[in-house]
Amino acid sequence: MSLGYAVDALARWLTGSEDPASWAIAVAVFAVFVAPILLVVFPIAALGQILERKVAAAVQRRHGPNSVGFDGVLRLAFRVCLFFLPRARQDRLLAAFCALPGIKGLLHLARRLGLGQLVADGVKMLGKEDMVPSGADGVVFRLAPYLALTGAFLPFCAMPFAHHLVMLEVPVSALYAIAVSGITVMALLMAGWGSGNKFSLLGGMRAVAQMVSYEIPVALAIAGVVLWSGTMDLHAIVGQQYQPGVLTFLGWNLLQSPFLALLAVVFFLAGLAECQRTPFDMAEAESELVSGFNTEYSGLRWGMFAMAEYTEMLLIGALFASLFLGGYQSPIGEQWIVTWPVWLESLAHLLLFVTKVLASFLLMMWIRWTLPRLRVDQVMRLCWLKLVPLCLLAMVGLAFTILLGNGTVPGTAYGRLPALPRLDLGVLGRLAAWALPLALAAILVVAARKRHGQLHPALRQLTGGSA
Amino acid sequence: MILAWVNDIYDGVAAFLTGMRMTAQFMVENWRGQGGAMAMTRQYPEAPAEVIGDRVRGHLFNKADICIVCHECDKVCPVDCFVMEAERTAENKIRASRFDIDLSKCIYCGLCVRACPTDSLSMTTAFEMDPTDDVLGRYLFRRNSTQLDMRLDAPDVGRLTELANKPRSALTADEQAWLDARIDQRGVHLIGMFGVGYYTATEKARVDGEREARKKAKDLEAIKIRAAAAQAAQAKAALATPPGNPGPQSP
Repeated sequence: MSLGYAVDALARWLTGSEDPASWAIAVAVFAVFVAPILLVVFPIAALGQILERKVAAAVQRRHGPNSVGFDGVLRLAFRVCLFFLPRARQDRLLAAFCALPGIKGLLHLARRLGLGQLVADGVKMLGKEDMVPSGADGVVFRLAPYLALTGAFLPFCAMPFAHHLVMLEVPVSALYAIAVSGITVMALLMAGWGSGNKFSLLGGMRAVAQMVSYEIPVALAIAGVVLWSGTMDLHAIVGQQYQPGVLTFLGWNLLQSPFLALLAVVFFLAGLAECQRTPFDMAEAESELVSGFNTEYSGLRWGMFAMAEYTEMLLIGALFASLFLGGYQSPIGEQWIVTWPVWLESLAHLLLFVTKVLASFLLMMWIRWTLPRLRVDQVMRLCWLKLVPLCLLAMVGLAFTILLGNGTVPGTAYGRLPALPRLDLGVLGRLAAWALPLALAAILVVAARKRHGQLHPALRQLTGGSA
Repeated sequence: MILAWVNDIYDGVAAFLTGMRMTAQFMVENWRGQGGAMAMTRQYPEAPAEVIGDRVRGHLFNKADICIVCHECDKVCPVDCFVMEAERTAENKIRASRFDIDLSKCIYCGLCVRACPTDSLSMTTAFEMDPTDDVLGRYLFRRNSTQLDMRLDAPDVGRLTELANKPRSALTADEQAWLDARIDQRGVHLIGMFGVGYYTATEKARVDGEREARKKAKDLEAIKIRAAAAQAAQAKAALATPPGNPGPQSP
C-alpha cells in the first residue's frame, strides 16, 4: 500500500524534499481527502435528494420542487453580514446586488430547480428533536448512523477519481472496496437492534439477509472483471481499459465480451440491492415496516442514514464506472487528455468520472420510480436462483474466452501506470467471442419461449395474444 | 428445467423493459411539458389562472339599474353580507342608493342569486382578491378607499369595469383621470361593484348595531306573538273545559 500520487506530490511540495515529514503527509492526505470526498461526493449525495424528487416528478408526470430558491438565503446572508447597517440600507445593497447582470437569472434557475430545498431540508433536519427511545440500546443506537456513513465513505479512499487523484494506491483496492462497504451491514443491524422496536429489528434483519446475499453476485461480478484484467487494483483495471486512438470507449470492459456485459448488468442490479433501493428496499419497506431500520431515528441521525444511502448509490455508480465504463477516461480521444497539464487533466478526468457516476445515479432513480417493491422471498429468489447462477455462467464463459484466445500481448502503458499484459483475441476471435454466446443465448431464449412462453389458450383470448 | 429458468429471466427482463419504456415516455413528455399534470397544472400565482367553464361561483355582481332593492338576497343570505339602501329617482322609481356586499363574509353559496327576482344579482367568474395588492385589493377590502359610483350610463359601466380591472400602472393618464372623476370620494351613494364592505369602522359599527337592534326587535316581537298565541290557546282550552268540570266522564 502506498499513498497516491497527489498526496506524495503535495507532501513533497510542502516540505521541498524528496523525503517528506510526517506532518506534511498528514496535511496532504487531509487535503486530498477533502478534495475528492468532501467536495465531490458529499455535495452530490446531498444533491441526490433534489435530483430524486425531480426524477420522481418526471416519472409521475408532475412538477417537482420548483419554487424554493436562494432568495431567502441571500437576504439572510445580507442581514447577517451587514448587521451593522440599517435595514433600509441592507435592502438597497441587496437590490443593487440583484441588479448585477446574471444574478436574477441564477436566482430564477435555482428556484426552478428547487435548489433551495437543500438548505431548507438541512435546516429542518437540524431543528428536529434528537430522540432516543426509552427502550433503545443507547450506545448501539447512537453508533449506528456513524458506522453507516463510515461504511459508505471508506471505499472512496481507493477510488480512482482521476489519473492523479487516488488517495490510497492499494494493490487489492477492488477487494478493499467491497470489504469495507460490508460495515454498512453491521450498521443497519445495529440500528435495527438498538432501536428497541420490532419494526426496526425486522428491517435490520431483512437488511442483513439481503445484503449478505447480494454481496455474492457483487463479488462474483468484480471477480469476473478481475479474471479478465488480471489485477485487483481498481486503478490498474481502469488503466487497462485504455485504448489509444480516437474511439477510446471501444476499450471499455463493457464492450469486451458479452459475459462482461452480463456481469455489468448483474453488478448493477446487485448493487441496487446492496444500497437498499427500491425495488429491493426490504429494509425500509414503508408499506410493511413503517420505515424499517430507521423508524426510530430523527434529525441528524436520520440524515446520516439518508446520506449513507445516497453515498452508497454513488459508490455503486463509481465502482460500475471504474470496472465497466473505463473509470475516469474520456469516451473519445483519451490519449490527448493525458498529455494536458496535470491540473487540467485531473479536472477533466474528475468531471468525466462524475458524469459517469451521475448517469448510473439517474438510472437507479429511474428504476426506483418505475418498479414496485419485490416481496422478501422474491428478492432472495432473484439473488440465489438468477443472479448467482448468471454470474457463475459468465465466469465460466469468460474463462473459456480467455482460454481460447491467443494468450497475452504486452499492453499499452497509460500515463504513469505500467503496461499490463493484455488478452489477444484478434479481430476474428473478438467477433466470435461476441457472436457465439449471443447466438447460443438467442437459441436458448427461442426454445424457452416455445416451450414455456405460451399463454394458456383461454388467457391468450383474454389478453389478445400478448404475454 | 433450464428452459424454464431462461423463460423466467426472459419474462423478468421483458416486464422490466416494458415498465422502463413507459416511464421513459412519461419523462420525455414531462420535459416537453405535455402529458399528465405538467399539461394540466397551472403555476397559479406566477402564471395566470384559467377559469374552467362559466359556472364558477366567483365574486357577486349587482346590476344597479335593474335592482329593485327588494331585500330578497338579504333575507336569504346565511351570513348577512348585504347592506342596502333605497331611494326614489326623479321618475319616482326605486333604485339602490347603496348596495354593499361584504366579500370577507360571503361564502359564495349562490342563494342570493337564486332569490333575486330581477336577475340583477349574478356571480361572476372573478375570484382573485388580495387585501395587500394594489390591484386586486383596491375595490375589495380597503375600507375608506375610493370607490366606484355605479350609477352611470350603461356604456360607461362597461368601460369602468374594464379600467377598474386593469392595474393602475397600465392606464394612461387620461384613463386615470376619467376613472378618478367617476369615483365618489365621499363614500356615500355608492354601489359596490365587486362587493365593497363598509366605508369606515364607525359606520360598520352603526350598521351592525342597527342590524342587531332589528334582530332583537324581531325576536322580541316573536316572543310576544308566541306568548299571545299561548295565552289564546290557554283561553281556548279554558273555554272548552270549564273549571270544576274535569272533562267528559266515561260511561
